[in-house]
Amino acid sequence: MKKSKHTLLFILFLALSVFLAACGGGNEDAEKDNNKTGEESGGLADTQEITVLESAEIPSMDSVMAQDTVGFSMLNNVNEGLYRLDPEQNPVPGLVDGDPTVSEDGTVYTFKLRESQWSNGEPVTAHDFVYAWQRAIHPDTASPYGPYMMVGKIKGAKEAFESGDATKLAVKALSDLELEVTLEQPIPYMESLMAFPTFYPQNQKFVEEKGKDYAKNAENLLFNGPFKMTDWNGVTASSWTIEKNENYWDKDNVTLEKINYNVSKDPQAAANAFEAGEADVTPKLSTPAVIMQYEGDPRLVRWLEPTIFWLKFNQENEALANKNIRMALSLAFDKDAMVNDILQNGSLAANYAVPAEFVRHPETDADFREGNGDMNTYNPEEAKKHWEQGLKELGTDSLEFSLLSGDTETSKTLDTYIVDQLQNNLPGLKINLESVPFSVRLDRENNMDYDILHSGWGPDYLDPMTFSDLWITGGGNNKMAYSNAEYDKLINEANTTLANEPAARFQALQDAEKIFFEDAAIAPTYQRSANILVNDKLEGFTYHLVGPEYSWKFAKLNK
Amino acid sequence: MVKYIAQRVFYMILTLFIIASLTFFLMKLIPGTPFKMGEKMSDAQMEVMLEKYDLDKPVPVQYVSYMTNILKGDLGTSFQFGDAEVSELIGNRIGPSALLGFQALLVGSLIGTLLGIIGALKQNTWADYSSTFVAVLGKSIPSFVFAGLLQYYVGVKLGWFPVAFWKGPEYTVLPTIALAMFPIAITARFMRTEMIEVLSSDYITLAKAKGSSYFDIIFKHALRNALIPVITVLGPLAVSLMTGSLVIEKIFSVPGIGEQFVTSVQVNDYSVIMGTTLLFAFLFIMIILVVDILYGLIDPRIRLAGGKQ
Repeated sequence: MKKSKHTLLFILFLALSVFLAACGGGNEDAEKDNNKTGEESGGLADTQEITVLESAEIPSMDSVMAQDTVGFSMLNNVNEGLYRLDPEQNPVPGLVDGDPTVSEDGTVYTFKLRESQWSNGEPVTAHDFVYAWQRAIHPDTASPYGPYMMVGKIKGAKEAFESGDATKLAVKALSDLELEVTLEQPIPYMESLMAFPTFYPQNQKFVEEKGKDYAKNAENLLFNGPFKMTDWNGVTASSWTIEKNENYWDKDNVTLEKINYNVSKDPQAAANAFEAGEADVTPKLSTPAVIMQYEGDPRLVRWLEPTIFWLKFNQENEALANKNIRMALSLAFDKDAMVNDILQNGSLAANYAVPAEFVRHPETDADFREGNGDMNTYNPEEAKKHWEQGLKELGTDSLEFSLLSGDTETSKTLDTYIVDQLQNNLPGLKINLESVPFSVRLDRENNMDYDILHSGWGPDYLDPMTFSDLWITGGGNNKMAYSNAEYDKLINEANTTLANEPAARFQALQDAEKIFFEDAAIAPTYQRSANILVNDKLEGFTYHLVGPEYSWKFAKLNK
Repeated sequence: MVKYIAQRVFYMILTLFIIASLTFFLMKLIPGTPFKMGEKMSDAQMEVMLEKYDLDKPVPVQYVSYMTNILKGDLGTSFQFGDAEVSELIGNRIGPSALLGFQALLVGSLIGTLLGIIGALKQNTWADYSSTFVAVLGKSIPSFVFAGLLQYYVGVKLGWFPVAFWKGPEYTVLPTIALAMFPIAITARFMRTEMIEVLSSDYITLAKAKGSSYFDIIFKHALRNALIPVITVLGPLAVSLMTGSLVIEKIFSVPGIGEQFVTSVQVNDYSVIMGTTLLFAFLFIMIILVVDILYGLIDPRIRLAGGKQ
């Protein structure tokens, strides 16, 4: 099984990334090389100016309040934290100068900062970090990401959030250029976490001086990143501009001079603008019809996102609390046909809960999936056996569930297919499809008001834990009444006793995933692919798997 | 007349109040959460968020505080756009939509009227049939198809006009044409029917008998009367054009209010839904008043109630 899956992966990547020279190392390398390294060219273009299309306006440029991909992406290009992600998805030093000093138990980090400047000439100091983080955790700020990113990680975050006394957050400026951060427990992915925009610094004087106007438009912002925003009229603006920041510490390694942004919400319209030469980069194209026009075109850049979708089984439902029933449901639909015939965008059939090409073993560098392989593949015969067994245990010959899912065209087609497959393969099963808007789905998931739910999860930092700790008993994101003491124990160990032993911790998380699938707690559906059009003169186009989507620091325009 | 207007204004305010109240309660019935981070927030965090936006209070209390704020001119802030003022969101977005709507209405009603007149005067000839054909096309082809075709053939292939975005007058050409198709169709159809009827009426025969010139008969006598039903439809049509079209704005990347309004409903952005609904309602009520006044100007037979008999 494992072998055939990987062959498929390999062929898929070969076919889809023909423009890449280096696929020889198998799918592991394909991922790294997918960030375009550029073609042979006749040197740099005279004008280093490009136009990028985004799929939405910028809802917030306040790093403490941002909660969406466009905002995070823009912040990543005009600001910088301790670290930033490089084209290979590794955290590399941003404002941090050299490696931090870490206490023996791995919980106290002392970061030394390099000397750098805000766009108004003031120095960026450790106090700026303390201020921004305290602001993010304070309940009055009501930051969406602050508490989510800090509680359980930074010491004192929970207390600070609950008491409203932000100084309880264990982050201190030892001097202007020394920042001390104390953690609840060691965090193996600390550097990647610190690259997330919620942990960026903010200049207290500037923020307080501007008050309500802070981050309202380009004039009311400070920048310390590779670019600075020179034109942005605020949240309703459908176009904006960033230009190279001459005050940036690493400005010698920034080539692009100017990036113009336009919002384009319609995939075909974005492709039209790209064709007409009005754009160098499109937003992610979601419509198969548009993607198909560019299949095999070197300008189509495709990569596997670590975003995975699954059917969640609400175990408060008596029938779904039965393991055989869940097992039957999870084995009874053909995922390969689903991704190849319906999605048609390079997405992979997912037979797992931690995505492929996301995290690697700390020592052997093997993909998480290589250790665990396929945990849940289509098998109608096996499914039928579990189904009959389950029905017997429940003392019934038919079951009816509702499947709660999205209301986009793609979701509807996908879910109709899944329902059809399940009903055909499992006699006596009736599924009612409920297609609702995203906001309704969120709300009903929160209230556990569903039988089966088609939802997904994208990571916020480069570590399997962002997926693994979803399923602990009573976990804030569990929301399906799944509980397994053994699973909880492994996650807890990974967080505590094994936190300083990367290899053993990795193994614990892989073991946890096995338990999760023995329980047939979910039925994974697919892992999503991103498809965008990029001008083939643009070298060093860089996307990211977590946090901000794009970095333009590494890009240059060739002749 | 003064009494009539005062009465109308009173009813307008009453209507707005009822619309505001109904929308408020209906909106609260829409299931869903306004917080897109919902799945990642802890319960404690959710409480803080609900409290901040007063969503933890009972709906009647929310209603009273919302209505009080409206009277003070405060439309609240958006969830979707990091606390931006609703008045600002609307203010920044209504411009492009209104401009496109106005241009489309102007182009549409002029061409439509012309087509309608031609159709009526040259009844059952090739000119009539082609004008009917254009009208049927405009009415039956969905605007997204038309917009997509325009964008691809005129924008990408011919390169005559920019494909999309909003940077200057030339950027308004394609969306205006796409948007004008519907008013062209509507005006042409109404105009043709009315014109035919008016032309067969006694006073036109009389005008002809008196020896009025052809031009005078058409434009002084017939057109004026034939315009009445057209103006009736054009009023509300003007509002719906100027309040933006989701499809056109999306395809041509126009920063308009139509797209923003639909999105706000999808993501339960309560204050934006309320603010925009109130604005649209106000515009509709105003236009109805204007249309009523226009009737009198065009046709002396229709004088406003309460006027001299």
